[in-house]
Amino acid sequence: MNTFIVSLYQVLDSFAFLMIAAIGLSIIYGMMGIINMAHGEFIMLGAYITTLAARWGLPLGAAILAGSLGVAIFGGVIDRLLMCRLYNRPLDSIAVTWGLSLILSQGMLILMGPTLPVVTAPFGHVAIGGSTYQVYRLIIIGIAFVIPVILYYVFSATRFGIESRATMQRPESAGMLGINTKKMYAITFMVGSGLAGFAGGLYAPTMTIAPTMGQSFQMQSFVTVVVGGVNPLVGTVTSAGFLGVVQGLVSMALTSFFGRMALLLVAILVLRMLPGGMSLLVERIHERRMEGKQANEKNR
Amino acid sequence: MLKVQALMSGYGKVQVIRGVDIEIKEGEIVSIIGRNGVGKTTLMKTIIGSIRPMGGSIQINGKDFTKKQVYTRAAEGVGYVEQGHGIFPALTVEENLKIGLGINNRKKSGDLSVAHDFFPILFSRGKQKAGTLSGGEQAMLSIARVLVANPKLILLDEPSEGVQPNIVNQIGEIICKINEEMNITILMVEQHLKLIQKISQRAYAMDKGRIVGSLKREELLDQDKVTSYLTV
Repeated sequence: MNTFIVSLYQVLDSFAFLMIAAIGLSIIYGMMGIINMAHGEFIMLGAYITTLAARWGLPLGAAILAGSLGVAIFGGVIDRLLMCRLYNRPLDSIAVTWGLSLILSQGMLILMGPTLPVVTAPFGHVAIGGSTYQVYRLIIIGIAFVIPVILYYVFSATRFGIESRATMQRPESAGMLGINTKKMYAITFMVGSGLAGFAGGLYAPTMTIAPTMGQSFQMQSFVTVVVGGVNPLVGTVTSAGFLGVVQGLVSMALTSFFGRMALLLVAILVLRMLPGGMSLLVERIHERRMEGKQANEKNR
Repeated sequence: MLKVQALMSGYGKVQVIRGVDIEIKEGEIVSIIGRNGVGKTTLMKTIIGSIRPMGGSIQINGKDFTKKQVYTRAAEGVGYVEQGHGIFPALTVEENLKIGLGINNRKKSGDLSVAHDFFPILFSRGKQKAGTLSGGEQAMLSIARVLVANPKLILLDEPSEGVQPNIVNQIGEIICKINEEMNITILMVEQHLKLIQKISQRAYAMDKGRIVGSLKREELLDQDKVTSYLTV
């Protein structure tokens, strides 16, 4: 029984990390066709702002909010200066954002030194079935489930959501119908950046705060997005769920190093067999069910 | 309503529109006819602002829109029905209509009743993905989508494309009705002879990026004359 709970925790913990780390990257890629190589550094920036704000005296929740907003605003500035020239130019965006990532991590090293003292995670520990768990990490797992629900609501029920999806599908038509597409892209980039900042803030109390910390997020969030495919929400949730199971179980059976290796291996296999990623798989299943439904209706 | 003077535009360095003058008065239904590749769609896209003009001017309701961004036209009451209908395939029918609603109802919440009056069939498909609609239904959706924004001028780019003949007829009737009942001015690009003859009050003929003729209603009914502009 205890082994089951520990495995479940490992899987959920991996899922939460992949989900939270990837969602900002995924939204920016899926909506705007920009591959943000500086995503890890955006997360790092969020962690720094959160840590500094917490040490300055803000409660952790408010500090995380400050980290998210700070990076969202930073993203807005970057969008106006750089990104607005790169919409739907994936290759160019890789070069530019990679340069940006170097400037950010090296700049942070010069500005703040090699490490920052950590803020300890609140709420202590809890014992379940013979093992103890950090309550803060359990809260993170909960948040990983809430984020997609909120985003689903935003993108399916609000005017911003509908207009941003329209812009993503046919930017030219959206403009003709009166949508200011540049503004939609700018807001989308800010939302993606803000989510990266949120990821950094959320994980800040659990890891070493260093200018290079973004890299540990970068690899895993990229794998999650690539396996997820074009649909930011469906892709990221299914991909983080699937990869979370793989990484969590392998990490528990062997070590976290092998967990990450398994992640890459599975990603290669998935892409070999399913180039469109999880989004495409889900879409196909959905289509088949719709066809089945229509066939049923006809038979009646 | 719409005044275009010496308009020039194209793609990159390639000029397609070589000095076009047209003027549409309030309440008119005017067609632009011509063969494939003479620049009809480019002209329409330049008028709506999706392509930046290289020269000339565009006036809507007496205001200069030549250099304004594409999305500003909708707020001035210009609706655009794209060639191939331009619906958002992965959005539902209802969401497509809501995009139209957003245009002139930034503050107040509008309603879809106009669309319901003209296109009741769309509302039995409200939750369906727009991409799964038939060609005719997509054409109706794209017209309904601009209609809910309460426009004064609608630009239609080949509404008959990909639509079966009996539905083309129906769409023609609806366009006339929209024009009469709601006093909406219509500028339409079309190659479908019957649709042109059925609804146009007059027409411009286009060739090689220029207006080469202006036809009155009576001349439009002259089969040979119209056909000469539509065929090579």
